[in-house]
Amino acid sequence: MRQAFTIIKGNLRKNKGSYISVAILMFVVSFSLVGVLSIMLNTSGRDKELIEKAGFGHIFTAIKAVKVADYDAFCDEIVAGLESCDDVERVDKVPSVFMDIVDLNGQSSSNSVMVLDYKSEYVHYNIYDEKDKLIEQPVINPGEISVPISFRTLFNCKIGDVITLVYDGKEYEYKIISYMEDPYMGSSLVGMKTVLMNEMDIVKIVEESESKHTTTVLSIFRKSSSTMNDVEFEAELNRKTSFSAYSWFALSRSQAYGYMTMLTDIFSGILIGFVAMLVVATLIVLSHNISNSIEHDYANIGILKAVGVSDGRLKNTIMLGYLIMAFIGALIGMIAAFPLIGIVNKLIRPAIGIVVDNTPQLVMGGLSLLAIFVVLALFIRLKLGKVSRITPVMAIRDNKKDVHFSSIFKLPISKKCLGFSLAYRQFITGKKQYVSAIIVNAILVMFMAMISNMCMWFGNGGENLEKMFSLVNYDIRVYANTNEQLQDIDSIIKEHTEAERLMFGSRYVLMNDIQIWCGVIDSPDRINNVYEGRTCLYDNEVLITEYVAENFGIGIGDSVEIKLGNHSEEFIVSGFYQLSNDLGKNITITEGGFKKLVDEYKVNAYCYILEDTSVIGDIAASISAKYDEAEAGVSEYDAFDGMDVIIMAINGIAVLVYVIAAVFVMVTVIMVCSKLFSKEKRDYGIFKSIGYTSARLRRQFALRFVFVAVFGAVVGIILTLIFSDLVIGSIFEMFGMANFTASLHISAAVLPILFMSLIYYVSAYTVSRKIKKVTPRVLIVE
Amino acid sequence: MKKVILKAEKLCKSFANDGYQNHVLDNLELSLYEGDFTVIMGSSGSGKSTLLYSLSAMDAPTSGKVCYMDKEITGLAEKELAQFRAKEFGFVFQQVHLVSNLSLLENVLVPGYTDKDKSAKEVKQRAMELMVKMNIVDAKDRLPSQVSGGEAQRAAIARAVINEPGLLFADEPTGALNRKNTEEVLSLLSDINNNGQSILMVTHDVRAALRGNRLIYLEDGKICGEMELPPYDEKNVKEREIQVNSWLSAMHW
Repeated sequence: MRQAFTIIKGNLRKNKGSYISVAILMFVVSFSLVGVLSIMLNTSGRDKELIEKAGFGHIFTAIKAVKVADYDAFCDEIVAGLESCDDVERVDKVPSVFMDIVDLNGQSSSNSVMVLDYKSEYVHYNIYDEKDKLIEQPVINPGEISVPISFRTLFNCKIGDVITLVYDGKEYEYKIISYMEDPYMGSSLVGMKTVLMNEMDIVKIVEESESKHTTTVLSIFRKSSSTMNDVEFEAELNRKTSFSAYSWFALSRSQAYGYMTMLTDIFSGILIGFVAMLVVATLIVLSHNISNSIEHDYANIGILKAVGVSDGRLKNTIMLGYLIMAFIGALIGMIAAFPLIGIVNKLIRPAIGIVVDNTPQLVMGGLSLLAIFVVLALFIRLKLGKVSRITPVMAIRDNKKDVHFSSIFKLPISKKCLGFSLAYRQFITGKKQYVSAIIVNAILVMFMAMISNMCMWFGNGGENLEKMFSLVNYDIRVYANTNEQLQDIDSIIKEHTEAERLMFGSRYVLMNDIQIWCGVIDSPDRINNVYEGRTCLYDNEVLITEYVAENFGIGIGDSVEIKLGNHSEEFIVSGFYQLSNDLGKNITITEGGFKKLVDEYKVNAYCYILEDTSVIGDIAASISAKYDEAEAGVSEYDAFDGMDVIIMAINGIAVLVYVIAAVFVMVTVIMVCSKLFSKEKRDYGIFKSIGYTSARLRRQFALRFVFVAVFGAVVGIILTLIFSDLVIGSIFEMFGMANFTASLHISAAVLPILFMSLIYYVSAYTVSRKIKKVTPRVLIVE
Repeated sequence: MKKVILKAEKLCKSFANDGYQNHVLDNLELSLYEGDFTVIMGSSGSGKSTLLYSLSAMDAPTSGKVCYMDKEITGLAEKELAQFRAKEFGFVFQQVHLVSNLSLLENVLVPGYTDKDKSAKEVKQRAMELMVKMNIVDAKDRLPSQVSGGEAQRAAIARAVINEPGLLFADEPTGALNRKNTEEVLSLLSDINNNGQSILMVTHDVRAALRGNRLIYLEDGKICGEMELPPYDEKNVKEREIQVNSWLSAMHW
């Protein structure tokens, strides 16, 4: 034991730089892994816990304000029908009103807000102050409102701001006094939001409305003895009752959970992938390091063997040295991740809408790190196989000299580019030294190029992302009460510019007894992203997403049953398209197809693609001059509310990846350089003796690493071209986009190359400061 | 009257070792003359190598100054020193110090290419002339590991003189060579000295010392004796050897 300890101590002293580098690499891996795992698991755990605690049923659905004599009695009838189902435990009736946001900090939203009484006996939300401190006994007075945390990002709002909501054409203003944590619909990715008010305000809204009643939201609970999952449960209810015919949205717990954790899942997925790459890169650097150390310590190993240290003991002690340092790095990384979790949670809180715990996931993180350590230990042991081949005599007699072989890539030394050609020669003749740095760079560049490509593909304004969330692209949408008014608006628009009119709407229907978002369009050739089969041209055809195909077990040419109210029709799947609505759980049919599902078909909105979009303001002015808002109006294309959040998050991830990659490269360069430097010390002396300055030698040294960066980057870009669509596609599948293809943007390829070349150059130049200390005296034998 | 090219005044060099000051050079005064082949001899530890480093500004003296062509070079900044080394000084070392991944020709060309006043073509031409002169033209494209020690040292001499330095420093240039290669290298040094190249060589080999026309004996960091000889001529080597040996005996060699 003492012998092993002495050897380890000696190794640590001698190869200090290498061991410290191993510790730093493991620090980066552990820091990223524990941080990402904690954020991901805490978010999902917190959301599950909140959904349970808040009192949401397994299905949450709102009953439409249908024209019946007694809406409450009508709802009771639906509830009774639901409660008669075997798997239903109970159904809570939650009174609410659904309002629209007209103004909050100058913004409006096309999505409704569900207004609930803050003292509701059915659902309970946590309420926080502006510092995200939980208010134990919150009070919301009349005229006040508590809004979701995500409003801070979506509407840039703060405590004290005034929100204007509209109900039945009447506007109401409320002062924002707190933030609420909504585990069901609180994420920026969910369109509809919940707000909390005083019961008196809700009563007032209802009394001033035409219908004079609240909208009933049903919270349907499944029996604990039921073996059904949420999808089966919903299908069962749809088969046995007609509740879906009267519900205008239905959200299951699993769907809500999916929406709420989607952002963290996607970005954690990306980062865990990145960490996996870092582990591979660590192994490569380690491999290089071990080989070099063995070469460097050839004589010492021989001497130790000569004095009776066995092969196994030598290997174990060397391995233990590396593992001790890796453990120290991982431990410090784990501890350093603690504050990171809090910082990231605070940053993402407005996006995910819930207050996530900052506790580090030590068990999961520890187990993951343990798995990495097992791989590390096996790998080191494998690499140390060479030690067995060293005999004491071989090692002690060893007098290795650098042997250089001619290379087909060799270029002559040129006077004009002397520094460049010398650096290139040093690189090409010693390429073995740089293999690990090249591979590491290839891996990192591949990831960086993919992330950059993803950012570019999203576009600055999220144009492509918008396409994922919209069935068709249009410039304006108009609505009117009558068909005559619509025809009139059509002619007003055409007075300003040439325009193509589209009818495009959506409804929830039942497909094979499951409620599903259904797009309806009169110009199916305008649908974005049909990638297999063809669009739905005829009124018995339906377009489906890959998600629907997989979950319903259907494909092109298959028949499905679509139900709406009392109507049921058979449709044939004509093709696959991509649309992220409801996480990909959606279909689209033609206007003709939809007409078959309703008794009375009425259009009250049209979309227009304008030839000249600069006249949008003029069109709006002309329409509002002729009609009041209750009759008709115009709205510009309304981007998905959470777009900015996603773009901000993906850009944030890109920055994080670049920063981690930079740290990783710096450590790699330090490791490679320390060995290289001792090998080349004599050469620096020679160059100095013939008149080279330290600065010139350092530039030449650093230039070699630019070659490393460029070679690695080229490999990385090739890998990106091969794997980009596959990797990013699997990430986008979580958004409901199953068929991602994006040609590599030139900037996405150039940016990582330039970035890595700069980092390699700067790191190598910094590390090469040792050259300053080398004098031609190293050449002199005393 | 010979022209002084390098002058050392009150040159001192001390090394601290465990708190103990070791004075290797002690107020040394020395002038080197243009066209001379000066040889410094002395017993081990006499300070001859230290003197060479101090004179060539490879190492800073503890005190005193060194002037090259009336310009003080002690205390020059690294950049200026580098320029001096590139243009005015040439170095040949005991071990063959060639850049291992450059061919012999490239090793010679690289310092030549640092001279901005010469075109690449001129540098190449001069390098080829030197290689022919040094009889290593056939090995010009070989790497240092692929040639003999003598060929490599000759290439090192070619590299040292490619920029036609004012002074060539040679530190035991034959110390690591066999007898045949030693003769070749010394002949080469004599040849270039005959062509006007000033040389300062440190050696403890009497046969090498015979090549000089001025011999300096160093002991305990001080010059103990000096001897002038006529230019080297192969015809009177024996007589020269006797002269030198007797002088060395007088110096307690």
